[in-house]
Amino acid sequence: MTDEKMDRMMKSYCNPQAEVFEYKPKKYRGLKAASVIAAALVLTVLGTLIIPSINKDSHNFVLTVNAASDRTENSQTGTIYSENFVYDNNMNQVDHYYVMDAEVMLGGDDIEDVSFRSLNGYGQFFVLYNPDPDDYHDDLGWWCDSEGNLAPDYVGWRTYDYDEYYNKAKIYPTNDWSKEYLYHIQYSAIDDDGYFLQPENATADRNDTIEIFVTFTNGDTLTKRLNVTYSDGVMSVEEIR
Amino acid sequence: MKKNIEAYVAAHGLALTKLCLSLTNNRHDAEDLYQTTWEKAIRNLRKYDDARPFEKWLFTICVNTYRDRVRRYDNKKILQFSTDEEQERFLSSVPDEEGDRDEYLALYSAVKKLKPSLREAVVLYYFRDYSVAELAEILNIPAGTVKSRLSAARAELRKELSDD
Repeated sequence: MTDEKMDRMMKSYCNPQAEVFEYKPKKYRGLKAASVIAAALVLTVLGTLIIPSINKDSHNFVLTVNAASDRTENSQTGTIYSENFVYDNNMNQVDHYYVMDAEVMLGGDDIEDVSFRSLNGYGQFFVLYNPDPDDYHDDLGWWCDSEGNLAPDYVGWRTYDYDEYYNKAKIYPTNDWSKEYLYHIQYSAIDDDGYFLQPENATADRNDTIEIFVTFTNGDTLTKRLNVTYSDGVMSVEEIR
Repeated sequence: MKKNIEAYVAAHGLALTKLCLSLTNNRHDAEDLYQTTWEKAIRNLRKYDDARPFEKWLFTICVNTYRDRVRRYDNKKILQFSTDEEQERFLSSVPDEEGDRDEYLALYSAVKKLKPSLREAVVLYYFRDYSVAELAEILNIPAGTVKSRLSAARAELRKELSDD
């Protein structure tokens, strides 16, 4: 084959005839939401105030809670309260809502596996995978239910991807991510109907406990518990010591 | 921002669709790549420097997302047609003004054999006739590396196609 022909064919090959894909913003509640949102905005609104490490042990284990910088200056609690916007298919803003999240970040040199759950079932999880430690926003993620199981219905059209690769709600570290924080687990408070808990309903009866179970490569295990409490519509998260 | 998003999707959706198809060949993966690329672009729109062409910025995000995907799947699932019909559909979507239709399957096989780093460079090169400098910007690698990758990719394609 001549270079000319190869160039011609490659040019055609790389410019296939195609109908444009429809852009489908991710559902924020795949089970019930009638409208769609750019759910990624949830992450954009999250701040970057990182509470200093609250635990290190012989496994060089580190655990922090990431709080929203636009919400609190309290360095002892992780409090996240963000406003998100709902768009229809024509990108017209049709609604907005709030999310109360606690983002737990943990890592270490010899973690084999991590699992987690919401003890009272008042939260669902979003697990973040970040291949680029230099860009906080360059992340992927998938929803898990309150038991830490992968929840395909929560992620709509993306399920086949994560369902296949992460066949359980376990988190697999990536070699090229910072060893300091291999895992992001985002706890989102939900109401009894499964929607994100709104501030007016964020009362003490929604208090919860996040349990995180860590297994190290030598077989050691570690359980961490975080208290999730509400006061005046604001969520706080603290490690139970 | 909403107006911008709408305008951006309208203006660049088709080009992104084609790039995603060219990189993956698999409509399923291409659509996922497409959605994720827009998702990231919209999320990071405030970071976009409008002095820079939007399309290149968008393609950079697309290529980075593609790289993540290749890395996660160890390159095994990339460029796989899930059915014969899908293969036929893709190959028949390639414009064929010179009657080369029968040879596109061989070309597909040759592209598939390329290492991901060579593949992304050569696909972008043919996709838009980008200069080496432009490719370096999109791929975030030095211009010299772009040249060597293009050269290696074309040499491998040439060899594969001549073997066939």
